[in-house]
Amino acid sequence: MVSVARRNLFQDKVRLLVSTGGVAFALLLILALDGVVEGSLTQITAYITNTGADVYVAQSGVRTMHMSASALPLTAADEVSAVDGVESVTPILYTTNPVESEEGRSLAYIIGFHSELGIGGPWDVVEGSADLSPGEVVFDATAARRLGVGVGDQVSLLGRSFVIRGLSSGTFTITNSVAFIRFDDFARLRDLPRTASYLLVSLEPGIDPAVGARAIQARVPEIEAMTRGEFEAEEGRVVRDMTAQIMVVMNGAGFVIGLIAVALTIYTATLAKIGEYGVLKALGARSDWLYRLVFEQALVSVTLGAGTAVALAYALSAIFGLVLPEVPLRITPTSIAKVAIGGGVIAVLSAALPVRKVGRLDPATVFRR
Amino acid sequence: MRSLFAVCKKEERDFVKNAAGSRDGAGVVPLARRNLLRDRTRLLISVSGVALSVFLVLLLGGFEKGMFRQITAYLDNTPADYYVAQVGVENLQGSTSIIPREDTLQRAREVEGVISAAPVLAQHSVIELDGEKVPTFMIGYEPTEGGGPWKLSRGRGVEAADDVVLDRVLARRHGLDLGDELEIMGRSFRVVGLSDETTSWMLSLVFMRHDTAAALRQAPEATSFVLIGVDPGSEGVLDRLHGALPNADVLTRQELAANDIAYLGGIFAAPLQVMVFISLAVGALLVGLTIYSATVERVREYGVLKAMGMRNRALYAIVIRQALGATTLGFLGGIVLVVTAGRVIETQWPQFLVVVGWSSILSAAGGALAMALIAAVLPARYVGSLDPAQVFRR
Repeated sequence: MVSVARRNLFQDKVRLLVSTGGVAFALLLILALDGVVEGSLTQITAYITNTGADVYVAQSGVRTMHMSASALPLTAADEVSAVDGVESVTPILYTTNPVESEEGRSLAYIIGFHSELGIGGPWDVVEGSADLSPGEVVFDATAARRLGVGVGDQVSLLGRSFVIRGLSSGTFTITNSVAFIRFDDFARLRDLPRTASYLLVSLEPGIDPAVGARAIQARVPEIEAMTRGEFEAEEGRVVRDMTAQIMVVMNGAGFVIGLIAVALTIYTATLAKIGEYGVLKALGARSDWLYRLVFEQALVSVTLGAGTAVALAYALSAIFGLVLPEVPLRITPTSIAKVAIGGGVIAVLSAALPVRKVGRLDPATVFRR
Repeated sequence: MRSLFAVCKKEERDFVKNAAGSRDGAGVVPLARRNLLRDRTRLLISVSGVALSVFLVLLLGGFEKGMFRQITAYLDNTPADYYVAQVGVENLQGSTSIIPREDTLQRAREVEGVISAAPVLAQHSVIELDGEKVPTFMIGYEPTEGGGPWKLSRGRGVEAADDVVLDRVLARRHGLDLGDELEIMGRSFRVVGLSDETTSWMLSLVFMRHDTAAALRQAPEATSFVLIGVDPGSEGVLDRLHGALPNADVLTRQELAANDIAYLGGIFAAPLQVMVFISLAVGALLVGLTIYSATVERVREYGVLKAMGMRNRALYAIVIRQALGATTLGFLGGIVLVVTAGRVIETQWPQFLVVVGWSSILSAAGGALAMALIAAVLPARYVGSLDPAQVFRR
């Protein structure tokens, strides 16, 4: 049985190639969109993941960083420091502003951090240093290359000129890049002498972050205290909730197109061999055996298409990584599982039409042709 | 596409005419059409595939155009000629502008030709409604100066410090109505108005009093932009504004709108292009599969035609006409689908605006034509390499 189904499918290699391509591209639609959303999530939460803080403290009612603004009085840092189990509290300032060179501009998250403490700043400095003097900045390496600047060059941000002291990696996202300046520079330029945007809290060794966050929340009023994991999850939900409906439409379209591609393949493959099916029926082959034959062709076709789609998605991801690093494409096991399940459903549904045709086949009619 | 049809048709007609010895073309056999229509189920499946591909291409483009229109709605509907912003800030979306409020207002109002100056404090904020994260663009405005909602479907503009005007679609999606309370950045607000044309799939506008927005931001002395209205008869106001405000930037409404579109276009261009390319590729492969199968099925007939002296050009023409026929049907189906889907989306998910103009349809037609030609390559090659003698031996 196995060899009959496969031979039927593999006999015309051109048709198999075209149909595999059809299924692969349809499933690639789902994988690519999933990949962009997942990749964006990783990019957007990169700062939160890499500061090393155990707990994040924001203004009351603010539970995200992306597309958000948070303002806390600096006195909150002292109050958080006094909570049992807190080892250190580092305030940062944060806004979104363009970084400009003579060659262009790049929208960036501007982070004001205490460079002498080494927390809240860039986590992967690829050139220069993150030990900043007043008027110096660490800027994302890719964004800097696009703006035609490097270490020692000048860029302007927050309305004044800064000298690039270091270049960082992993700080370029689909929406913007990241620039790190000194906390006091930020506060002076924005006239925010007694304010922080967020507090990065390190807990004493052995303290569970969830316990620490709850203790801070209970002791300090008018704030939001979240563990790093919670803050990352909240940030991720912004992207997921924003894109949820688009994902439904695109995934639905990818699924239906995939279904059409496989249905067309199996239908044409069955039709091309309809005479042989008639002979098999005349020789006594039972209908359920023939149905399984058709279904197996659908399954093999979908498996080939899905495998090609995954390979294409990885290739696309690698190409984007080289050519367009700001557009991330991250293929996750969940996306692959989604495509595999979708493919299975496609295989079953697409076999329906040819199965009907084979079921109704009258061997006598075939011999009369 | 029509002229290509005509050329292909002529090739085919010339051959059949010659073969039949006909002078007037009477009795011409429409080979391409018959081949295509022979198996209607197969044709229907492949046309559906192309229709979905074209639908996706048009839908993606429509989303992008709709998003641009939605994203500049505030700039398009707020009666300001110039926007004073922080130095270096050239966007309404994306950047955060902070300038001293009173000093900027005073300097702007003293400029000859300026008839109004309204402070607006704008910032992004993610609020939580029904357990869903909802990105908003908060606009703090002075009710007496302008810069607030331009079209209210119900209710009124803000008056009290805890008044808020929500977008109508946002409110409906989350079951909020006039008089309801909600929390924004840790502060409680009461919904007093529902605004129209103030949403997009990315974010919705939320209006509150300027001093409330400044307090939320802990920057009571600051504003983000000052909206300038000028006397229509006055000239050189922009230069005078630049002179009066050396520590700020002054931008026209058009500049800000163009920068916002360029910024968002930059974010979405690459993923959209990839999706459009994949959609077109799927369409081409589906048409290709159909025409290829139809050609292989008729291999003996093609062999006979070749043996009778039909040139490869005429055979290619038959194949191309089939591809064009299937693609045209699919293209028309795609347009019907996108128009229908646009209406459904408008009612079900009004935060998405799908704008499908003639330029988008023309681009999609170009894509469909490319689809058909690519789809014809393999079957054409197959027919071209056919040896009549071998066919007869089969």
